[in-house]
Amino acid sequence: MRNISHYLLRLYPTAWRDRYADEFAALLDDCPPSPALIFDVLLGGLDARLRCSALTGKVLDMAARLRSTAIAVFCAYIAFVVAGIGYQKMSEYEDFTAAGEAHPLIGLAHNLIAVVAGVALLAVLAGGLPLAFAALRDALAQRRHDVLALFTVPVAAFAALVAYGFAALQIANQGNAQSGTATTAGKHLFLSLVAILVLGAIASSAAVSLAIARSQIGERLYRFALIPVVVTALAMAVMFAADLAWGLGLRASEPALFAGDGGIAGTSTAASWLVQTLIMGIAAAVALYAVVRMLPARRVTARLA
Amino acid sequence: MSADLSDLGRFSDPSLLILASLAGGAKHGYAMIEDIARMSGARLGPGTLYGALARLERRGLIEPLPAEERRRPYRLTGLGAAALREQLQGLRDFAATGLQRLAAI
Repeated sequence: MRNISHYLLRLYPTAWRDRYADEFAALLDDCPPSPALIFDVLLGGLDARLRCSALTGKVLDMAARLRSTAIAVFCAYIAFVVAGIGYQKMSEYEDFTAAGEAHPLIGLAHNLIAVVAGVALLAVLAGGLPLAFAALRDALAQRRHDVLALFTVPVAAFAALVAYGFAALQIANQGNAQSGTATTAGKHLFLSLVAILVLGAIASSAAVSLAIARSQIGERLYRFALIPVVVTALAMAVMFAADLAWGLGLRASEPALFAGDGGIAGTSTAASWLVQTLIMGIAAAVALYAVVRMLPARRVTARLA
Repeated sequence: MSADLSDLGRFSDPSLLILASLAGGAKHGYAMIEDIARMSGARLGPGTLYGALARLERRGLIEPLPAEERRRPYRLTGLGAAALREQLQGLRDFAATGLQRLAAI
């Protein structure tokens, strides 16, 4: 346990570690390692990050609060985008576009998602790029190789996705040419591509978040990112509501289509929509919660100023 | 400072077990885990234990003692003893009512 206790401690916020690190590390060294223990420490770390000031009595400074909010919204946005790609792939089939043209509610919901997705992307770029550049500049100036290594994760994940996607396409096309129809192997290749996309998204967002968290970035940049962060969280909430309306509208207006197999990789439409909507809902809730948690502190700071 | 444990969410049960363990004397983390396992059969994980310890300390129900090497013992405060007594009396009343109703079946 001694080997990994150092890494497990890094899950906890600095203020918490300042108070409990030594004794907690001693306890971890005493405990026999097990998956259940690691899961328990993971949950404890998450709890400490969410409730740090309540647990340690230390009030985080404004930059730290803005940083944790920006990182939470960014991670939630990436999860939302992964689910959104699933929605986009599903809704681009002819049957769904025809349903959108025939039923105003379905069409309106779909168009709303497309427009608000653009707004959210612009907001993430406006708020996130300056922070990413500042973190990169700080890493280069301080020669922080650990932070620079973290920035290579999204590049490597994207390269892996493109390379695997290209190879999968070649193999699937060969299989289709031989059999004349889409094969089971092609479906498996597609699902493995989805798995790589999800894993890459998780690894990339975690790496970029860690890089930003470990960098010295001034409060001014975080304040600048505040409006894009709020816009992103609200956009996610609107898209979630529109996706809900799209699915419910489809169920009411085109029950046969909703009950069919038009979902991801020929799976059930209803199941695909439910999974996407669930992920979108959780991501939007996390983003809104992160923003709301930060707002009271902002009001106090403004009053003191 | 609040002596009520019910608003500690998922940490309310571990907090009660910790207070009951410390009622038997000051202990550090691992000794508490072992004592609680013997007393109740429940084995707290380190993350859960320290989540509850931090909350109890903030509320003044327990207090840290000087560290012995790297292990820091904790002990019950007067407020903690009162909170534990109140919780256990509530449980005793609850158990008595439940047993009375069972006896009537």
